[in-house]
Amino acid sequence: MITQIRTALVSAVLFGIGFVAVAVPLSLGLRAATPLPDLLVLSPKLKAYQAAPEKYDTVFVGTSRTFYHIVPDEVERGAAEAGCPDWNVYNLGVFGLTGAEEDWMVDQVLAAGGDNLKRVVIEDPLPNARELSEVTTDRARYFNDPALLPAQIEAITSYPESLPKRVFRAGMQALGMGFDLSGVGRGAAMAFPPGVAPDPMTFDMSKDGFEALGSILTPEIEARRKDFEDHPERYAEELTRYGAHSDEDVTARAVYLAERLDRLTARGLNAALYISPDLPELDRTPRTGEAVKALPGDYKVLNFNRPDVYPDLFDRDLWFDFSHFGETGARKLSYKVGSEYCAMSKAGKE
Amino acid sequence: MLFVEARFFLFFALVFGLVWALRSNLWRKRILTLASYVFYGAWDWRFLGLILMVTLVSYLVGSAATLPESETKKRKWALGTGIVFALIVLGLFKYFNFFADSFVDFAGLMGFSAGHVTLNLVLPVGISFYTFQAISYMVDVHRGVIGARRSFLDVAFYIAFFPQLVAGPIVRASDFIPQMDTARKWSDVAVRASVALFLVGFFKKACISDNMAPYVDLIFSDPSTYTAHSVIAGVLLYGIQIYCDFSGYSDMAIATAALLGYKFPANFDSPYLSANIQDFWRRWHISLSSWLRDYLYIPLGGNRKGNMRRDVNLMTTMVLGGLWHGASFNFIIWGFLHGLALMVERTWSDMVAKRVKPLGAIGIVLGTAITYYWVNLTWIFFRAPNLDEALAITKTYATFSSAGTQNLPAIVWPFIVGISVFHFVSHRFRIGEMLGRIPPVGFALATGALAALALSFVPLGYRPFIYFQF
Repeated sequence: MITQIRTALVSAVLFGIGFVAVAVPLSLGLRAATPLPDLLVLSPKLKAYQAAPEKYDTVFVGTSRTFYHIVPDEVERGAAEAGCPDWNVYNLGVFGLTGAEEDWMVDQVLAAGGDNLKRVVIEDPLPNARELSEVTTDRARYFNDPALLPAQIEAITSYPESLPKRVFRAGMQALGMGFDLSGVGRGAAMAFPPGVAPDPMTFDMSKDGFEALGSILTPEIEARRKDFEDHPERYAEELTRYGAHSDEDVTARAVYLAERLDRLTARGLNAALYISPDLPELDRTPRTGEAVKALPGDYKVLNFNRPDVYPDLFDRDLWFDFSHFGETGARKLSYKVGSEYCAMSKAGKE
Repeated sequence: MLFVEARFFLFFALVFGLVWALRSNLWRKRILTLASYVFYGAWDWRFLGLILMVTLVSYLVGSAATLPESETKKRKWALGTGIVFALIVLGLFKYFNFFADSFVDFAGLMGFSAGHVTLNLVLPVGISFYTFQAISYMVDVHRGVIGARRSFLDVAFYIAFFPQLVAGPIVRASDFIPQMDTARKWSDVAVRASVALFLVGFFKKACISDNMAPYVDLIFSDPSTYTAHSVIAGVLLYGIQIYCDFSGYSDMAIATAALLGYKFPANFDSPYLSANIQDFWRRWHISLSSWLRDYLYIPLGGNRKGNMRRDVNLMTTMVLGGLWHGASFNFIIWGFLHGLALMVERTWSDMVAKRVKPLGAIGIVLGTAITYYWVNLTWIFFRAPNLDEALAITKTYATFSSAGTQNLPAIVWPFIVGISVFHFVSHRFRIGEMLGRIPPVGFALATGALAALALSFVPLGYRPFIYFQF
């Protein structure tokens, strides 16, 4: 029996060696030959910016709270009325943007932007995935690039949550990377192209990357809206999160964000951190923004997730769901963003 | 639970470890039977009752065979009841709506009006396979080929054994039941050959069949928009898809059973290299064709009652074989076309072939090409969603003309040629068996490397095996 177990274990180890020896180089080789998949919102918005970077001097990179909240025209109007005329703003917000994805996106902007680029505003990105289905998508696979591993680790370890939760996210990330390194599907996708080429992802660029939430309805968006409408009492409950005690230490996240701002500043850019109004994050992101400001250095933080400072932004009628404004709210916020960013920039920080 | 899913590997690892850790044959059978029910229940636990009922009836009918010789009438009655019961179960779940609708349509044609009676029944996975196995047990016991089992567990294990439960091979009671009398020995298991066979099956199913499926779906869903060469490619790709899908499943089933110590008969033997249709049916879905031969064609009289009766028996067997696959006129036509080819071939053989000099190698090549062409033509009816589409595709396939302008990607023709050459080479040199003969260290490394290579060509998203629907 022991001999049989030993034989089985040796065989399994040898099988594993054979597997890894072929899967990893094959996967990496095929990955290198695979372009960025055509991703909803991300691809058309990035391509549009790369095609005409000279049109914009200010780029906002962030999550759905950049995508649905930053109206370039309103930011420009707010800035102009505050004394910063002629800003040209581009919204490069993409829903579900995580840390490594945001780093990658900023790199793309810097590579394409050239001399015309003056200002880059980043957002506190979303935490990494918690479910297996989220780490095996085309998008997740692309960003499971081994070259982005340090960025993934930094994003996970800096996120203000308990150690077991971070360990769980790290495990999920490892599964995602293992899935990608196994190479599953890569050869098939390359050797057998679809019989009918799918239509490329498109996006209405008439608003420089902004989309009003609810202007295009999907079942998920409708469900979010319905949930918001059906639970008015939860709105008040969410507001009580602000200022409530939380034992999640935001220091590491603040340092993580400050490093990203430093990197942009070192390139001669006027960099800022934008903290969007977001009800479920009221106990976290406002503190993170303040922690960044408190760090040694001169960081510009547009911290709008503060009901006591911006009570007019927390009127329930402005909200589409618990995390996002509708268009009216987005315009109101954007005007303030432009105006405050200009004020900070004029105070000798540009 | 599919053989290519990660959860199957977990399930199998557990069952494999448990079975070989036990010494008692009885406990092994208990565990395997229980695991088989878990495996089946993973699809739809509601049908476990049905399979248990079929098993109980088979067991009771088998027990009736032990009645004394003087009770022959009772024995025959029991066997008849058992077979009718199995056929009713099959007919009710699989054919009721088809025959009811066909009756209504026929009555309408005759000028009568009949109301539609439709039963909203879900087709239980594998019902065609396990009912045929049940019939095999009842008939084999009453024919005296094997003895009736005293243990209900033995019958349950035979009918439910998970490697073959949902899509065959249809294992004969006389082949399988004697194997369960003694504890299987690990030393008798050809581990490397079995692992190699599983890998070959996995490759056929996941890397070839599943990659062909999207192209086939395109052609069969809208043939009129495609050029003639794309439609023909689509038909040939379906021939490749269904072969790799079903023989891949059979390879994995045979390998899985072998790793648990049980031998299943081969189900395929490079069928597309057949030089005639008769040869094709000796090499395609062997367990079904031999089942139909032994339990239907021969009892009908086979070729013992003259040419006319032989042809009728052939056609009856093939049409019923077509109907076995599903309740649709397309399957009946598919069976009819095969029956027709067999009749023509027999007649040719009787009247012409005996009087002319054989063509040798040229004849074999010509015969193989004609057989391949015909078999693929019949697949059109097997795959097409309805008769109209089938006829449209057949027209393009036969006349090489189509008004469509769309093309499948250019890769498909080199792929068809490449896979055909590989089919021949792997048959000629028995590549799978060669893999199984590599020494242990090299084998483990090679299978690891090949598994990695295969995984890269597995398209994302599982497709169920085609034969699960039967």
